[in-house]
Amino acid sequence: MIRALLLGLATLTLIAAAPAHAQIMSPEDATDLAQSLADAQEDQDVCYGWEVSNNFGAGPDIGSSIAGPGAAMLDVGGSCKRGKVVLTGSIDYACDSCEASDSASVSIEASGMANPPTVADLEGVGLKAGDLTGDNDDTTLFNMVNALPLLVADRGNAPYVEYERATTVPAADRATNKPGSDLLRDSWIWLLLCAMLIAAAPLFFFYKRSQIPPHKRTKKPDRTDAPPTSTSSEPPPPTSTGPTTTSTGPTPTT
Amino acid sequence: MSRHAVIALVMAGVGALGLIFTLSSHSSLRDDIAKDYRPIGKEKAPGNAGPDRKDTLIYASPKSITQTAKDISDKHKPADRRTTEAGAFLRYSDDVVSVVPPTGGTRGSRILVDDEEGGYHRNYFFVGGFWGTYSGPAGSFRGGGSGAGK
Repeated sequence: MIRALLLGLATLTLIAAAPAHAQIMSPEDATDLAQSLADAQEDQDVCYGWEVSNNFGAGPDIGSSIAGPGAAMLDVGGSCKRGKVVLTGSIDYACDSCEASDSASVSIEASGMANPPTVADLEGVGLKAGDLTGDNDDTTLFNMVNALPLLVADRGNAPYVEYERATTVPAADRATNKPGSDLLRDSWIWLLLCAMLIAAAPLFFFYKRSQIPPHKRTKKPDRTDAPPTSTSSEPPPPTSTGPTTTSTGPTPTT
Repeated sequence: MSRHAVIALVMAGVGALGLIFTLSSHSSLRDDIAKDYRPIGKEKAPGNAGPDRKDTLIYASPKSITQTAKDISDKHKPADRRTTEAGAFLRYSDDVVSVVPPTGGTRGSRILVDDEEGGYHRNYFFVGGFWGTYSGPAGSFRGGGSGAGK
């Protein structure tokens, strides 16, 4: 109890002393995160922490389930019976005139457990290191660390943290920013392709039509250059295939 | 009919058929979960009563929490998701799917399907401030304890 009070006091002191937005996560978020990890530690006997550095002059984001936000993990009194898991990483922002792009990397350092979680597990739940260079870097870091106890339990190293539903919610609090259509989110690429195909059909037709010279677009007249039919009353020449005979004698006269 | 007209008609026809197929083949999230997992029961959804409210549907999955959440999100991409120490939460247009530990220490996971209000109320500790407003108590760190007494 005394230890908990001392830790709480130390946390409040750290929050008060920290400059505004010194790290990626706000002091309030770091405190909430450390508290959720501490609750998980109580259920699982696994200690959790995070340590993510950056190159933009702010101090590293550090915290743990034992010592709270702003303090590295120290195993006090053998609390970590089933092991320790720490998310480590670095965020590198490229300078404005540099050709290199921003980058970030994370790793999971675990000890004392047979089947520790991996970075691939984080990616499997949609948490990628590259998102640490985005606008929601604080949320991404929070989510990565917050997911560790679930990943540890999923791999059989410890029991799941008990799920407790909220029983009282302030009346003013409600969900906001309602998501768009599920159908569009699932199938927008196919819907877009099909719509483009339909729209392209008349465009294709009229484009091709415009390339035909105007005098060729009208209906072609009936052909008039067909071979003329014979109107002579003369009988057609003999078509006999037999041997022809020609008279060579004098023409009889009357 | 010219060759170009035939090609244009084929393009439009393929596009129309593709639209019809895409729209008709899109199944609902609730139907797919009901088809893929074993129903356990239902309960009154948290939050205010209303004519548009839907009961919470409860299912069991033999797979782990993250694998079950992945299977569902692979089939129906969520608009947002949270993976926390106690479960994975998927947010859709009208529904919230919570994949949480099973009761009684059994294996696998439990799936709760709520409407938006029910999901927000039920998981307020986990999604409050992320998917909506949060005016809960701003706690100070209380320490993880020694793990004794369990």
